[in-house]
Amino acid sequence: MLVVEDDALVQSWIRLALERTEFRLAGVASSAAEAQELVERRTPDLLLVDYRLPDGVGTELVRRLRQQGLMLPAMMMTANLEAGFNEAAREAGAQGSVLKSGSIDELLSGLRAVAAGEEAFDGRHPEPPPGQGVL
Amino acid sequence: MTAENCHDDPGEMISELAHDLKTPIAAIKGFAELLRVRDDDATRQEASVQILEGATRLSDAVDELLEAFLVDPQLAAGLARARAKGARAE
Repeated sequence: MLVVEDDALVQSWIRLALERTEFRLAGVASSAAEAQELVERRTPDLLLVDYRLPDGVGTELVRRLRQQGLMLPAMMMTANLEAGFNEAAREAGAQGSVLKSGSIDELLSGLRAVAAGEEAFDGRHPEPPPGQGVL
Repeated sequence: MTAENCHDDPGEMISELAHDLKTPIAAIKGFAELLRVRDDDATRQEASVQILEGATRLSDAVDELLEAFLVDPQLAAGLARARAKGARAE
């Protein structure tokens, strides 16, 4: 799997959390541009993408990859609860979302579901208010 | 978030602040949980280093927040009053 996350602390936590699990890191990208390159070069079979990236938003990265025909499962990650986040993630082509809550169980169960072809969106994100579009 | 741009868009500032505070908090919680469920030396070593790093970042983020509020004279005065009150209580 490829992790797209620019925060070094979160990168370290994810690396350590994934040790001794079935997930093998193909790489860690710190930007959308780096992620694009690594997806093409290392052909991961799963993505974990932070929403806030230094060169854009993670949902746009996923959207671009889908437009390029790259359909590997993708899970979005964010620190804040945001109304409409799940809808935006789904609309961009992601299969799940996880909060940066520090819970290893939440991270792993979400990744396992998405890797298995299921949807796994964190229900704590509120729906968007009526009449308001996704993020 | 910087003191210079903190009032350009208060909503964006709050969102950025929440992100800057929550990210190291999540990492600290995550490393603490790893310490709880794993008992190997390598995990203990890395987790403890990263928890300290996260705490330092949180402290720095709070300092930046205070600096950002000091740009506004009213907020600066309010902060000074709060500090004086705290000093009297001690």
